[in-house]
Amino acid sequence: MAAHASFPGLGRRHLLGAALVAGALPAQAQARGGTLVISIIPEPSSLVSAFNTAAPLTLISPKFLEGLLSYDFDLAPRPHLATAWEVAPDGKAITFRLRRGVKWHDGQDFTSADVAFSFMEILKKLHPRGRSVLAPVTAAETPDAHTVILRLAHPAPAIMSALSSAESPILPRHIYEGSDPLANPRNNNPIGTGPFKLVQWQRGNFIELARNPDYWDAGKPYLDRLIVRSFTDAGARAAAFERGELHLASTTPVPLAEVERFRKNPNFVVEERGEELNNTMDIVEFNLRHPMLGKREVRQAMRHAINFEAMIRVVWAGLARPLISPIPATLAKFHSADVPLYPFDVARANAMLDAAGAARAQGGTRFKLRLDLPAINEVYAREAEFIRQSMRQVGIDVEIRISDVPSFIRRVYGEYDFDLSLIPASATADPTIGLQRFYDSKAIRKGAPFVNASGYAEPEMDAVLDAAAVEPDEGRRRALFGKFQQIAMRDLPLFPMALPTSLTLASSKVHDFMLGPEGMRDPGANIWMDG
Amino acid sequence: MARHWSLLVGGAILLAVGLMAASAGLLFPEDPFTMVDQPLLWPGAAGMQLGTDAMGRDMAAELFHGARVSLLIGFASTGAAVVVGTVVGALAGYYRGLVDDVLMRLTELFQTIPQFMLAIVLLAIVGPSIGTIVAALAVVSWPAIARLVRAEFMVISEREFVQSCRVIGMSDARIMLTQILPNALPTVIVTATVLVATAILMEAGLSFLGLSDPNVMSWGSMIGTGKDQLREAWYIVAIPGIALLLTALGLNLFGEGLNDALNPRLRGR
Amino acid sequence: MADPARSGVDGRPWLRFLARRLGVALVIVVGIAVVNFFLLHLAPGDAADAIAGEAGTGDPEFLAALRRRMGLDQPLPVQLGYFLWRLASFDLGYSHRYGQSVASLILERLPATLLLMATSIALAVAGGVALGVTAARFAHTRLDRAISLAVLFLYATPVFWVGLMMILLFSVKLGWLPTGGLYDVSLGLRGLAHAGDVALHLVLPALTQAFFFLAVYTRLVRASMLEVLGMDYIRFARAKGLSEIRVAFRHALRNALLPLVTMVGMNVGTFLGGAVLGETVFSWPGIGRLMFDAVFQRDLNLLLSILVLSSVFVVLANLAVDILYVVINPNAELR
Repeated sequence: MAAHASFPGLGRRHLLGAALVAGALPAQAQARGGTLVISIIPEPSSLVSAFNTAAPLTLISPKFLEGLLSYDFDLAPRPHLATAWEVAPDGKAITFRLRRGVKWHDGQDFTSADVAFSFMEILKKLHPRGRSVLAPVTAAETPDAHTVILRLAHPAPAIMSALSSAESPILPRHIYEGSDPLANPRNNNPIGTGPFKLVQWQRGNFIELARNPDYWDAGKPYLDRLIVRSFTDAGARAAAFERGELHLASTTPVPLAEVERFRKNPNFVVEERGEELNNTMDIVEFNLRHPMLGKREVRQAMRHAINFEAMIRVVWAGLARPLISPIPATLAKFHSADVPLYPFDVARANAMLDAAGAARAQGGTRFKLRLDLPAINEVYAREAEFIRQSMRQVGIDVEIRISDVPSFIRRVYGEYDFDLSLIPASATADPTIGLQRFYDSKAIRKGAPFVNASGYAEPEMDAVLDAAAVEPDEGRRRALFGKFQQIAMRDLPLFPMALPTSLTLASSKVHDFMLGPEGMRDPGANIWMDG
Repeated sequence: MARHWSLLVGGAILLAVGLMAASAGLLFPEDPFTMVDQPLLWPGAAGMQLGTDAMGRDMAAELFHGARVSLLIGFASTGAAVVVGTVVGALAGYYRGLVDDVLMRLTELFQTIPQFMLAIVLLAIVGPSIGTIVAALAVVSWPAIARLVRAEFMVISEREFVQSCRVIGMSDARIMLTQILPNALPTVIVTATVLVATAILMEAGLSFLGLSDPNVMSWGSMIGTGKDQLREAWYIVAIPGIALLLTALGLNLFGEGLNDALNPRLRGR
Repeated sequence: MADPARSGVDGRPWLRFLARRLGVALVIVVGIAVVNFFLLHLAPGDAADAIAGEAGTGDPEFLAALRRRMGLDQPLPVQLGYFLWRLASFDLGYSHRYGQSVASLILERLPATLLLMATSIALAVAGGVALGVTAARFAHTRLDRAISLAVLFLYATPVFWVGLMMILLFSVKLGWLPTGGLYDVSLGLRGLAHAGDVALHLVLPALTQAFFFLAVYTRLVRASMLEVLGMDYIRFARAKGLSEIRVAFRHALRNALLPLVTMVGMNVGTFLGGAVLGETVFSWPGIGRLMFDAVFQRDLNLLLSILVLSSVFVVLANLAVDILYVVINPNAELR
């Protein structure tokens, strides 16, 4: 894995981005032309990811709308719509130099006014994560048409990790200003700076995109057309790949049991990169208000009762990585291995539970718990099943409740009516953005989904998190997050379960689709197909 | 003879399925959810007669325990539907007039809402569990029984022996319960057997769409969890599917046989 | 009792009949809208929760603002009032999730379901009549029993399971037919070639849906024909010397048409509601799957509109059947 990478843009160093053109150097000569068919499931509800960070939107929106930066595999920023950037020494201002000669799909010029508008009116007000990530931004100045200066109330190092095309797309001011952005019909037919334009959208059937001939990166995109289909069934996707009806798909592209078969087939390529900006893992959150679960020893005992290796084998067919802390090893910048460990030990778990006062009743049961999870897919159901079986071994009777998403949100976050909840959680590329929300006592807000629902409130933890959020020095920040991980794994308000391996399956005719950690979420200008 | 054949074959199938359900606890005492071996073993491998599924669970155990759940849901929901439908239909068919109008409009209302969708909506409201699935299927099935019972009651209440009961002053309730109902019952029972088959298939369809009780094993949920493995391990889908088919077949045959036996004037159809 | 001489295509009875039926239909449809409205509001969570769930994040102010936009913060009776008022002006509302009008969403997806319905029912009727007539012709012979048994198998088989097995055989193992979808847009076909592609994609879904109906129609036709073939006026016709085949077809089949038409009418009416399974298995972009998704996204405008549309469908189908009944059999009354 990559060693701790330097993190440009912070601290006392000014950094001017290199004059690299976005996109890596090609390995072979690209062929121009072709129609690429990709699968996005479920079908996106709209085409702009500025208001809704649902996964399908983050896959399609960047094809139309781009962001200021892109990133390389070390998570170092690369120029995109911004060609250079510098962070002020005190961390309270970020200056971006914008690319010249970029036009919107309708011919108008891309200027700093668009960037300022997007940050202040769209991302800061309406983007689910932007509202908190960009909260320190007090103003966006535009001294000229190609310069934007973001003024911050205090240093916010996390912002530089959140500027990809999928996360913070720049919207055209002349289209969105003065209207209700959420209801703008352009959300289904975007005007962007991106390499593709919409041709037609037949809901439930397909979305057809065509090359933007005036794209700022001359000569690109290489593809003539891009077709997006939603094969709802994983088996159907596998069959479609084999028939050549489908060329590229990510996020469980085919049933997990079939991945090996495709890996061995020379007509296909299996990629495991592309999630480094997201780091979406599965976690089980505990409701600490429950009398038994409120005891730390009980939670620790439960962790000893889970055989994570076996779980990965059974639930993900081996295609997942174990997690020893809430910061996955793939986020090498912040990951620390110096944490309390919980090896699989049923006897120890039983002993700890006995000691904690959870005696076994007549039938061997100590106490009952409900495990709630949203109806996402089969893998979750299997994971829940595995947890149930594991808990049976130590006398805890678990009842599984699978609800549809709105019911789940209402029950778990609106009413705190749960004992255990199994959810996906994106650690993102910065723990302040992705993880603080689960551990910070200030994040406890009834009704707010996917934040601290456990009720965990530990002053030591709050102090560490607050300090790390504003610490401009890299080294000190890393040390703070090391402490965070130790406390997190000592107190265990939630169990990090596993990090499912990101899988992207492509026909071997498709090239240059995985040039950075954005993976399929990048604009796709560099993708090309064999003639 | 055709009628004996239907009754016998249908009855035999039902008996077999019933035995499966009854013996599940004896033959497979472990929780069917227990992971016993490697995942995705084909039938016959490593001593697993029906193989293992994607989580390494014994398909045979799942099949037998699943029989319990499928039969339970089928019979319980139909039973409830029969009770409700009979009450509604009896009242409508006996009293006619305004009572009939109101009850029939109510029945029509339920019948016009697409059956399957109504079940889905109901389960979305309360969350799927054995109890709620039985209730949802009952809510969806009672109109058909109500219609049938109403028609029967209307016809039978015109008959002389019923008229004479009225004349001698028998109470309405007694007439309905002791005179008309026993005569209407055969038709109801025949329809009910077919309805059980429909309920079992609907439960399977709902499970396939993800609306099943995650704490119990049913044939439908076996198919739902197995559809991702269709290509390589299609026995996971095939085996419970065949079980569903045979059970529904058996119920239909039995119903047909019953119909022929109880309604001799329709023999020869 | 209607005077036989007056039945048929005579003015006033028809108008009265239509007026009454449509009036009742209107009451029922409104009743359904109201019932479903309250039913859906019983479901925990709302559209804002669904959106938050998809997004993986969202703070309470944002969700509150979302709810205000969607009108979800109004008291229930007010929301119901708005809905009924819109319905009366044929405005089906706006789907905040999809960012377009419900009417446009439905119009986009409805044709696919209609195509599937028309094709599968047509296949089923053709097959059902053929098999039913054959079975009746050779009643109580081995052929009859074979047909009856085969048809019973079709009746008892779960639709979605058959669909999966057919995909396994014809798409995955044999590679003859596509795995799903309406057509392959990447081919860029037009005109006749495009129609051919759609037809190819239609084969498996239509056949799968047709199997069940085929079973029902075959049994129906057979039973009706046997009933009629044993009747007096048929014996009379035989005695007059008409050949057996002509007897069977002209008289018996005509009589068997009546229950068949009723059944087809019922199936057409309820097709919309039952389409979700077939559309899911075959990734068919129809209304059934749209309705299913709308439940779990709590997209009330969309869902209620589809449910109302579906009910209207049923009512119209029943009406059409009753009218057809009179046309086919002039002795019937208009009730």
